Amino acid sequence: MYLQVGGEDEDGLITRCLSGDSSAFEPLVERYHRPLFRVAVRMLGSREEAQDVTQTVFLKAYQALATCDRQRRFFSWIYRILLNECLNTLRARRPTQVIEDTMPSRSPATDPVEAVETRQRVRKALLILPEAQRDVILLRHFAEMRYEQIAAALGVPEKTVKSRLFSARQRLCELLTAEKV
Amino acid sequence: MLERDDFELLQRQQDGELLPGESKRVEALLSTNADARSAAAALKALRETAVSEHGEPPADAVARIMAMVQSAPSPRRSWLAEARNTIARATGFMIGTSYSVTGHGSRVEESMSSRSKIVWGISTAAVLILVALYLGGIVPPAPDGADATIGAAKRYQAPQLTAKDVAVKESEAQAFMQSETFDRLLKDPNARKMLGNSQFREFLATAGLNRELASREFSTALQKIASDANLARIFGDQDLAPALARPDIASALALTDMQAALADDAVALAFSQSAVRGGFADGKARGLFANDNFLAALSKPDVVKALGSREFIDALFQGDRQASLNSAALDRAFHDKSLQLALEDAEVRAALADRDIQGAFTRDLLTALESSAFQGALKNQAVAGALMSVELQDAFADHALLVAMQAAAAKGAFSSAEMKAVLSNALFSTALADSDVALAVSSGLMRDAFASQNFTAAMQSPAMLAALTQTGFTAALQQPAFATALGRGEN
Repeated sequence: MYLQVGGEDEDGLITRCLSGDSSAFEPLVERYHRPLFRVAVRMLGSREEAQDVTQTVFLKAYQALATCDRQRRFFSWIYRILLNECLNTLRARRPTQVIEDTMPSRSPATDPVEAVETRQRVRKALLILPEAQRDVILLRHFAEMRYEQIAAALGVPEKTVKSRLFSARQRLCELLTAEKV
Repeated sequence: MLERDDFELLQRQQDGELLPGESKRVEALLSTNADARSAAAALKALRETAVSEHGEPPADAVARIMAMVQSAPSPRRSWLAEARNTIARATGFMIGTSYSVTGHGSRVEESMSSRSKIVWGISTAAVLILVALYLGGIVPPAPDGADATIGAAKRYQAPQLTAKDVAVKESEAQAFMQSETFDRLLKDPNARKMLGNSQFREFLATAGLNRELASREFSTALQKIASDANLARIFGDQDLAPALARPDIASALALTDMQAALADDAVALAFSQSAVRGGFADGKARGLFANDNFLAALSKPDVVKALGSREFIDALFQGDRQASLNSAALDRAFHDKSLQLALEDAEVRAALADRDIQGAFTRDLLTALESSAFQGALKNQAVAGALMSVELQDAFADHALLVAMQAAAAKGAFSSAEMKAVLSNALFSTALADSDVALAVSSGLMRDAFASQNFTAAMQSPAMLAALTQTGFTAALQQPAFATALGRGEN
């Protein structure tokens, strides 16, 4: 039922944390900080902010561990906290304007200005997507998770992940090509 | 328009999952189909955005996070926290924040921190009451210690509750919190507003209330309040909340009759009336709840029963009478014990429920309600019919007349068994229904007569009362000259 983390299932780790063993939280951090950071950095466009947000999210998750719904994956819970934290950061940063992008493009051939604008448009389009579609896009492309990992994280069948991803990409393409963002 | 197969092909290309031979298909597609090129460009933009540089966390990220975790207080097992988590999930979508990026409103979830403010704002008491409501009573503490107690949870936030007071089986509580009912309650903006009201929570947390939580009726009453948008809105009203914190109102809510009244569909129906809702919503009636007499009246189950009458509510709130809700007359009316006594009378309530009577009270119902004579008259349908007379309404609305009727002698007269017999006499009623008689009664002279101790003393006379029951006498009453004479006290 629960994902195995370092030979121990997540539920067991959470139980140990709740019993006062904070070291039991470390395997969870090790397992999930990377995909969470990737999502954060690509949503926020800033490594520094992504780092802060990721730390904050793990701290919040730890302190609120008793409220974690054991029926769901730990990742899906903390991932939701992360998304909320990122969105809150974006809102606090500039409530009605485009998202800052301080990171250079990976494609040197592309006009840097154009590349930044493109990334901003993609991020804006992502915010328009329905939550379920945005989740799979972020986890697949931003967190670079495999289908089965996404399925496990979200607690849905792999087939559903693929189906959602198809729809999400299709919708994203519509938004981007129609210049709606 | 791009075919599904073609779009899937482009996706596989972006994912690096093309099958042998599909590269040529992609090339052909891109060279011949503009939509395909647009889609490919969009997918490329997504990929490039996603794989922008510096996507790896710093090497010491885990150590940093764990250092923060190690210095933080240990998380604790908390039934209450789990309850709050349920609330958070249930309310999460309600607290979404519109995040506008390009002018298009995008509904997104608010941050966990902001949500927490609201979640934590819903106190222990609210959770307790919701659980108690669902369970319809409180399960005694289990001896094996396997059950979480509300009392224990409450001690964490508010020491006035103890484990001995109330306890709910954890399994039942959790089942409730996972139920659609709980979810619906918490998603209901009105219920949430009510629960978010600190004074309402204070009310819930009052020491005497704990015992009452064990009452299924009390639970039912509050559940009705919480689940009914109208009632929840009313009880969540910031102006009403102070009333709920009053011990007498809290005690009243704990009364079986009051609970039954609140749980009564008629009450819900009454509060569902647009006139009532409007009265509370637009602030016209809010002053009522700052009125001690009105609140005191509300603590009377029979007043609540009367409020359960759609017609009575209509009478109170419709039309011009809304303006008088804060009037001194209302104050007096609800302060008047005779009204409270009258409302205890099923016949009075039935009379008040009569649409004809409702129609009659276009002037000043509340002023009239002060009159015990009026209350007595209400029991008679014919009298009620007479009250349709504008003149008589004027008479009852006349403060001088009411003062006169409040006079000890007049009260005695109207409260006597004989006078009641007169008032219930069909002929007398018929006489009253006559506009001329009503005119006579409403005349200044008649008012003077009522104010006259001699006249009221005469009214108590068995002979006079006997006369009033005589057809001939009542027929005479219909004669203006006779009525005028009566008014002059020349009889």
